[in-house]
Amino acid sequence: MDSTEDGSQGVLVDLSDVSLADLPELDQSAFAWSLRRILEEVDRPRDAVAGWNSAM
Amino acid sequence: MTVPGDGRGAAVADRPAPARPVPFSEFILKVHSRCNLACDYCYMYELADRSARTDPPRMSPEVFARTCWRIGEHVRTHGLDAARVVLHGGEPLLVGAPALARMADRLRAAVRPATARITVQTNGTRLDEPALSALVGAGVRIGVSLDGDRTANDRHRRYASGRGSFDQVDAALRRLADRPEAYAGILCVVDLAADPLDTYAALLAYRPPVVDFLLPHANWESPPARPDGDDTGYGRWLARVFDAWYDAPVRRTRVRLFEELINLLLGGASRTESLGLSPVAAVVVNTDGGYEQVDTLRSSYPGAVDTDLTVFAHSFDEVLRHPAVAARQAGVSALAAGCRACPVHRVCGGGNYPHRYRAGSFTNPSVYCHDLRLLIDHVAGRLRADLVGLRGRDG
Ligand code: SF4
Repeated sequence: MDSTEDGSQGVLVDLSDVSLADLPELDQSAFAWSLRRILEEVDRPRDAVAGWNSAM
Repeated sequence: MTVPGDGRGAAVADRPAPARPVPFSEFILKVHSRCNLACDYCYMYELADRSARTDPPRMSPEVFARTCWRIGEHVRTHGLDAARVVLHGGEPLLVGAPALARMADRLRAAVRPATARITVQTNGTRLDEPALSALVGAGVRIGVSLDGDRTANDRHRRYASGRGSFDQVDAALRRLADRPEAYAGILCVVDLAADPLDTYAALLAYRPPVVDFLLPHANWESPPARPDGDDTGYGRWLARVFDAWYDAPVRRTRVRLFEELINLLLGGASRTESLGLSPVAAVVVNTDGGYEQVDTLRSSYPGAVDTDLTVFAHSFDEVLRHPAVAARQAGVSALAAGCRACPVHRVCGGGNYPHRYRAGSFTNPSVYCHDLRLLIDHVAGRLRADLVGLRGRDG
């Protein structure tokens, strides 16, 4: 599915039907961290702003 | 837990650009405009706009006091509960660590009852034990710039004499690794001449909580070095580091660029100006009290950062209304037509703003367009494969 000026979803990765129930609680991989972050963001959306990238 | 469809993530990604300006929440204070290094890629001194050479070397007490007052005014006007302040340069430690610690105290007092999260971004050469202790004591967090191992770092990050800076930075990072409460992380500029995995391993040796990889400042007028002519070379370099980071069974450090990229691909928003379409909420105050747009724009053309507004005469709200600042909060409407038609534009965001410059305009794709596309597709592929695995386990 491509995204163009009409705002369709393009390259976004589809999370439908993904179950995290089997993601081991102790899974500390970057993938697991990333899934937990997006789920938290989806449950508690905040307006994100972009910070400066020349400092940590 | 099952995520019901992709609509929830999409709702985050499709948030429209703000109708009203988003208040600044990150304030970058140029406390010293000079540097004791002469890195060959420095946007302050070596690229298009070299006006920093004539800026006052040091932020005066009057400018600093007025800047604190302006930040407090902005925080209260917008009811912010926190502000992030970066003490930057040049090299901020040229003002001395005790002075930076006093500045941190003054900034905290200025924004109360909001909190101030204060960071120093340093080249590390002056971060000796007394300096570190002073900053830690003042609750200041420290980010250090290092480009990898000795060979990679000293290829670019040198003193004016030509001597490399690695030994001092190595010692500083060893000290900092033992003070995790003050350790903000490491910034690394990508160099195609360095091996990506060696570079990543060299950074990991200092146990950084966060790493970020920055593409060298370049634009269409002054393109990046591509020794083999491959217009995806930077993307391939980053993809190799991504795989090393992503494949580790235990995440050994956070990598800001990769984490923001994954979050965008999963339908979230970005918190870095390098990717995505989130409004930029960062502003720079120069040593002379002038407001500047994010100062990496110095890499594009002389005067690119100037707003002609100062802390003495103008509020941060007036800076928000400056057209060039507003453009950084305009989301998709500020992108070039080619980017708006690109399938990855909500993730890429057209790339870092200074990298889009060509012939007086920033309405262009990034000069790293093909690199970004390669990296985004690579990461999306890795994510999709792992999600298939997760679906498989559930089914
Ligand atoms: S810079 Fe390139 S990859 Fe990024 S949105 Fe524009 S066209 Fe797409």
